[in-house]
Amino acid sequence: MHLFRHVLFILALECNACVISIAFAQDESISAPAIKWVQAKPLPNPKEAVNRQVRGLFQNELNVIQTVCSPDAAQCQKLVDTVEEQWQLKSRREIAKRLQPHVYGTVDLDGLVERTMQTWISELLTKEQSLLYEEELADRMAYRRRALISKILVWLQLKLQLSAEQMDKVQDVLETKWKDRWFRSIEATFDNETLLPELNRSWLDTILTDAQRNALAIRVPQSRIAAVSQEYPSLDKNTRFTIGGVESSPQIKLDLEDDKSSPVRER
Amino acid sequence: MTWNARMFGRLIVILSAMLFFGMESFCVAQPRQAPAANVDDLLAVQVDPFGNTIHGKLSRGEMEDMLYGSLGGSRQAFRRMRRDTIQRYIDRIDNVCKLSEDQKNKIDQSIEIDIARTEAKVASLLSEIQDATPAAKKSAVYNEAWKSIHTIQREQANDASSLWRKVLNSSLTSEQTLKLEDDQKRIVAREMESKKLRLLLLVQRKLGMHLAQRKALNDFLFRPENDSVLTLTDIKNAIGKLSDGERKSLMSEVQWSKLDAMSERLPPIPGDDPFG
Repeated sequence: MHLFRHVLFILALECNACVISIAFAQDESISAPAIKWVQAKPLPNPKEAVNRQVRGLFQNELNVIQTVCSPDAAQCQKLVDTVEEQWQLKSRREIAKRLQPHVYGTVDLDGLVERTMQTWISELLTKEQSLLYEEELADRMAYRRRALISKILVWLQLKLQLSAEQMDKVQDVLETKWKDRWFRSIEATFDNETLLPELNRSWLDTILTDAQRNALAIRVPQSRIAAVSQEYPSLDKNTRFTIGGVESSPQIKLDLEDDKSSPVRER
Repeated sequence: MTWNARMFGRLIVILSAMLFFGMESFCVAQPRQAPAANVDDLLAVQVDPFGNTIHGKLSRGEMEDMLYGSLGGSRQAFRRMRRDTIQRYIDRIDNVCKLSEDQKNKIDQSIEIDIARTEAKVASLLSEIQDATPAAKKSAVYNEAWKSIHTIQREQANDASSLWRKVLNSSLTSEQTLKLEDDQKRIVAREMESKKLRLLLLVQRKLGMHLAQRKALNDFLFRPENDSVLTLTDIKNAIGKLSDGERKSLMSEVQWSKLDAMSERLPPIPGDDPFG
């Protein structure tokens, strides 16, 4: 009986505390109307997001190939089937493998897709078509090279206070020393100075002053950029690759998470 | 039931009630611990959060050493870095305008005065500290000095109130000023070019553009009337104003609808890293 009275007493106290806390909460909401409680958005699964982005890049390549190489219906079917099948067998795992020691921006997803596609094109299409695609890739790289050199010059100007004439001279040096692997992605090369290519100081020795040379040696670390960029195209794992209105064969299973059964094509 | 048993029962009940209230206040307090972060706060200069525990125990001399230590290693290193920062600006101006020895000497002396003024400012801030100064006051003074010196470093040589800039501006001839303006225009043009190329690459990748389209978009972006087209919003507006025919020469209808649906990429908040 005593115990029951105590329990009742605690329940009464609890009700009282609840009423007080509600009253305080209301008071708080009145006194601080500027504070807005925002529901935190769930973070996207990075692996899935990158997979969608790489699929988006493959689909873009297929669209470009359709315009640049004009493959016939049979070639289209072969190509789209290869892309779909290889995505399950190899590409997906290749991406996952590269993302393991991943520092965002250091994995060149564009280059990976382009080189893979280049191999398939050389195997599946004619030599003339393959050359047209290579011409397309070379043009793309020429723009990337121009963009990256331009970015490096702007970065160096801000850091070292180069004059316009010095920028011209540095541009000549960068054009001469250019390596295709310098360009990794738009994000890596434009948003984070720590991911810009390492410049050999001896290249610029005759162009820079002493104070500029000293400053070049100091790199300011910046925060890493968001891992899931909005700038990539995206293709869902449940959507089939297409080229020129031709979809990948329905016999090829679509991307299923952790489906590691080796025969992908249903017989 | 004995008196002891009753007391024991009451004790148990009181303890469980205390535990219950404790849990409730913990649960209620949880959401209040993480108020919506203000982006300005996140990007603001981080003043040493440990000031209350560390700096309160330091003497004025130790504090000065610590302050310069975090700004380059030592007072001498700070002087050298500050001197180098300004020297880079002077080098550029000399490179463009060919300053005379007299001009260089005048500017050189004013740089020394500027650096001495910065150091005097720090010394004056720290002079408030005596042995008997309370710890909280000490850390507040230290934080103020750190913030002030850090701001000077961040501004680099853009501080218009600095003496050397005033001396430089007053000593440049009109011919030198024109050369400097021309140089500045070329630098700004390069910055614009870089921004346009970034935009071009962004759009071409997102839309999957081919060689001919890329060239057409490049020509479009670098037209004189499109000088101010530097962002995704700008390019959407500029292409939106074109006739259907002109737009189709740049991109297909499908690509245009993709571009129209693209949103401006916001700069990431430091630490907001889904991989982290």
